Amino acid sequence: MGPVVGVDLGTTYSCVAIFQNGAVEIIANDQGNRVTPSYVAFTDSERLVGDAAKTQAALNPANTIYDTKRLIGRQFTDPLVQKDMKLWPFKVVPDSSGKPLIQVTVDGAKKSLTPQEVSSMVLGKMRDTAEAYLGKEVKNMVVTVPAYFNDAQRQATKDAGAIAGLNVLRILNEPTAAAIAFGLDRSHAAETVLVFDLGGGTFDVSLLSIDSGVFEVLATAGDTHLGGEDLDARLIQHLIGIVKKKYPGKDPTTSPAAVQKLRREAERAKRALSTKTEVRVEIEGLLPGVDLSEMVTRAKFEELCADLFRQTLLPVEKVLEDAAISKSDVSEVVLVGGSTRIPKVRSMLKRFFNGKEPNTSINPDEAVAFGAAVQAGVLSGERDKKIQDLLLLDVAPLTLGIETTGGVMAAIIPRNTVIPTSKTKRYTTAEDGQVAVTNKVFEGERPLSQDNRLLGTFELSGFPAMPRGEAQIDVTFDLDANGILSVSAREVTSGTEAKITIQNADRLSPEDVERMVNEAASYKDADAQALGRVEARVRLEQYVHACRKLLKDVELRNRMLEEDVLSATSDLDTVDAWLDDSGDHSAAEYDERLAELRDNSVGPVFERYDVVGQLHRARVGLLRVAAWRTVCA
Amino acid sequence: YETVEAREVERKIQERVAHMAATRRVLEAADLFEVLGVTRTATAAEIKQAFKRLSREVHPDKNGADEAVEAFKRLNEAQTTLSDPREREKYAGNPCSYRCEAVTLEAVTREAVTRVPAEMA
Repeated sequence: MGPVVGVDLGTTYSCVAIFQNGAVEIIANDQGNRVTPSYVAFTDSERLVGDAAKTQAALNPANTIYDTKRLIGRQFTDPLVQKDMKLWPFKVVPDSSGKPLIQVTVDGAKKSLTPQEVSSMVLGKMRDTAEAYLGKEVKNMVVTVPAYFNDAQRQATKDAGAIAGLNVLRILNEPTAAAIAFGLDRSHAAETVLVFDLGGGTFDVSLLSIDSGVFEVLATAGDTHLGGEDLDARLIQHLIGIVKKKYPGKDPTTSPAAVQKLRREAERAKRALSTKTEVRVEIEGLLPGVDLSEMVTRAKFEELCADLFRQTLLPVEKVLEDAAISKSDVSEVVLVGGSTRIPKVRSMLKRFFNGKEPNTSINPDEAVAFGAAVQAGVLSGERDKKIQDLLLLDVAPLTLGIETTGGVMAAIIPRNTVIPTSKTKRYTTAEDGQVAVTNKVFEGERPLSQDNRLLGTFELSGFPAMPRGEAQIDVTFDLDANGILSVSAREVTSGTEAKITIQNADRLSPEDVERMVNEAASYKDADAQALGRVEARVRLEQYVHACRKLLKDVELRNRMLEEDVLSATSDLDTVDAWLDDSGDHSAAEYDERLAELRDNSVGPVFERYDVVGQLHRARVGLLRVAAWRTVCA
Repeated sequence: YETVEAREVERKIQERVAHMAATRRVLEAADLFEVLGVTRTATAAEIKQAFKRLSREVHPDKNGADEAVEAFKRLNEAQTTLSDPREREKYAGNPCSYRCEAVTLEAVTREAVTRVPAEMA
């Protein structure tokens, strides 16, 4: 099946890794960075993904998309989506079925993208990074999601892979992946480990037992909407308040560029406060006539985020309770995710575990991708003694059930059930001659179904009419290894397969996925075009550069006629002026100019002095490297 | 090198046979105790231990046989049922009708019923 890579698709950053020759390698991107911002941006001429997109965010706020993990698998009306939107400089609108779409302007035209499509671009970038490193095509991936992601969010993440033309072999839970990174090289003595994973946008806690290579998740809990970005947001609100106080009548929230600058500086300040006790936030020209310069102390930051920090302890209590394990039985508390660098988070956890020092032995930014790569190695059948005994037994994070009389939720698959699993329940008809039953499937922990999330409605039909109570319909709920649900049904007495249809507003139809796959492929063409254009430009620039270098050569200058020097210089100047003067030209235009120089103007001059060979040597090799740099810069 | 290749093929065949034998054992076991290969008096710890050991053999990540998913699900069911003292008692009392019993206890979803028009019924 070719190489299988592990990808940590994060809210703010993503990371890709591969298991080969008995070791995991984190793969650096074309900028040399081991993590890549989960950013996608559209300029008039091209699409940018990763570092290139994040770098230009403040200049192009409305067309720079990030945070799609906070949208994926959610409804537009979700209160969390509504709240997040207030701080996003890009526009989010609802589609006809109430799902959020991100709206950008490309070439003057409005373009709408689903969160799945944006995530697919980030996944595509991670694939490209891996392909460049491995020198091989990459078709298969293990992609991680927060353990507390629900069915729709998992399905949507899988769809994102499909849109990028990738086969997602497994949706793996992030804390489980981190646990592998932690436990892979440890001794074989059994231990109980709590993974505390506070990332950029999501928060998970998983309790695992690790015993001779078997990683069994005992319980998991979390908050799919709590992370470093929420801490940034508190700091941003604080800074906005200060600006408003100092400059009455000025409101930074009215300017997307100003919010973007605040976001960047707030993130920086937050990071600095993990090692320093105070930091100065300075933004010149936040708004016209408004400069910000403010000292923020660690104590102030902790005060602003106090309730968020406290919130992180609830899932810790919940997993211990669910698994019926006491604090003192936990042998290690493993920290994952950039936000676990915050001293307050560490001290709080230490106090909670009666003075036990949290374990910081794994890299909080790379552990998830590391574990995903190991699982990718297991799934690709890699024969290595390090992983041959390794087995993950993961669980369903949320209870799945059906609505029964009085709107009560009847659990069918309780939370923390090991997956894959299937449960069969028998139903019967309530009326004589009834030939159809409709049921609603919910996920969540509340006793009344209305308080849980509706996964879908299924209708059972196609069985013969019988007196009431006689039909026996077995409905099977199947949860696969990715934590994704499917439902099937069969009438037992007549032996007929009951027909089952699930309506689920949150899932993309196969047609939708196919359309998006085609669109993604068209981006590939556009990207190739952009690359071709940049390469052509660089070819021309390199030629001009090489000519100018030759003209500086003393030996040659002494041989050349003055008029030849002048005409060559003037031709080169003309081309340079053309390059500087206007924006982007097509690849053909650059090539035309190059041909003109080479064949009609400067080239023949150099030919007369027999130095064309030197010209070629100067250019070879630099070309592709330079073109890539330009595309990525 | 031919022998190396032959050995590799031989190894794969053996592996496949072992995979299929393991899934068969689980799928053809007469009851859930037999699935786990434990006695009717097995302790919770013994059940857990057996589940982990057999998981290594039949979990679809480790076992390439087509039936691996179904085998693992049955193993999983055995572990879930027998680890819960109440469920275990119910199951041990009447293994044959355990499933059906559990189901009839579920309330019929009267409110969620779609009625067929009288003339069609």
